[in-house]
Amino acid sequence: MSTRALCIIWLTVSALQLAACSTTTRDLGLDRLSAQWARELVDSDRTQAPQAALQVDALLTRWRASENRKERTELEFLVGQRIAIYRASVELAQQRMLLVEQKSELERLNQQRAAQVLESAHLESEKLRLRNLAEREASELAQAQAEVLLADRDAQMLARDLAEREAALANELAAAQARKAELAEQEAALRGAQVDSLRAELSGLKPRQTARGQVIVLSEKFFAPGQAQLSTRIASDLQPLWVIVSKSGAARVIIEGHTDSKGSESSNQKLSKQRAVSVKNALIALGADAAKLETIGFGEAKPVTGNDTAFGRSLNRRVEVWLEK
Amino acid sequence: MANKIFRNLNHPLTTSLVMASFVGCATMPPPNAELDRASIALASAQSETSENFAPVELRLARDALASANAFVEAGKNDLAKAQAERCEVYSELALLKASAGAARAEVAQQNEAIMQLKRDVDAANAPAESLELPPSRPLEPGQ
Repeated sequence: MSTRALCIIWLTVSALQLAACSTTTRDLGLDRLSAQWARELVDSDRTQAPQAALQVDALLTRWRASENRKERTELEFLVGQRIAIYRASVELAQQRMLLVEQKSELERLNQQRAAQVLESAHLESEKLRLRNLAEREASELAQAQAEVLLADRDAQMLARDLAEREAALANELAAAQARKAELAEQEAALRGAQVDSLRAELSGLKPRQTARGQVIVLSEKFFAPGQAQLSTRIASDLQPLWVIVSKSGAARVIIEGHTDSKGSESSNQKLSKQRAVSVKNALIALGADAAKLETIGFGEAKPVTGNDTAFGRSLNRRVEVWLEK
Repeated sequence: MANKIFRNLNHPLTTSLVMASFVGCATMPPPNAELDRASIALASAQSETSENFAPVELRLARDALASANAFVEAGKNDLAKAQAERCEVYSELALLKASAGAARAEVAQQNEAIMQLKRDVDAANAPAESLELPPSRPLEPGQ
């Protein structure tokens, strides 16, 4: 190759190198990225990433001022990446704003939910309380109803039992009354017979003459058993005795009471005295002079026979009326 | 005329000027400051989050730093500086994309939590079931 050819090649290369170091031709990359940046600013709020926006602006300014081809190529890359950084910064800012809003919303919802949970727990507790109350009341009502039924049943049984008892008692009462009437009739008949017997005995009274004088003996039949009083009906029927006493002309009438040996001596003496007094009072009632009447209670001291047998004891129980001139 | 020109070009002074023009465009000191910034930016950007949300940018940043170091070794400092700057920009972009992605995921998660809470609140606000009390059982006659 000739020297001339080498010079031509060198000049061409130098020209190309100079062109690479500095050019003033229109840059399509700059136009494209400038337009992209303009759209980016329209679609976003640069206040969300002001630092990144300023960096893009600065790079674009440098790019527009630069006439160095290599620098412009590097600036094209840097502007593209800085726009991407701006976009990411804006998205990060937006996401952070969303997070702040979400945090507030979450806090509000959590409070609402907590209040609901609390209210729900309260309602559940109240529901449980009311349910327990209702169950307890139902149980108590059932128990009360059962008790009422049992009480009704008991009352019915009692009423039946009572009616049965009343009927039985009425029957028993009727039987008792019938028996009483029967007994009364029997007693009346017996008493009538006894009175008749006493009257007959009184009618047949005769004084017995003894060395001491005349004596009239009244048997125990004239007295109620164990009593000092004369039999009621007999007291007014001692007329025959009074006739004998009044006609005897006795100056003194001694009425002596005697008993058997059963019981104490003192009580026997007391009973014998009281029976003598009863006879005295009856005679006074019939018109006798009380001044002539004297009573003595001998008790068991003067038996007329032994007290070993019932018959002997009945003979010993007596009142003797002594007529002394 | 042409021969005259080419003869002048063979002059030692002309040769020196031409060589100086070559060296003036390419020679510069090693971009240590840019390399340091690039290394720091890459270290800040490297994380599991970045691997998930900005794997391309992270890889580009690593490649750029590796290229920058290679150009330094090769004495091509201007190219090394450019690659260091690219590494820094890629790292920053990776970090921002990772942060935005993580925030987006957190927004989605929070949004799901909000929706769930709203469903719970709406369900709780639904008409409550009426209070049903057990009926009192009447006693059968003879019970």
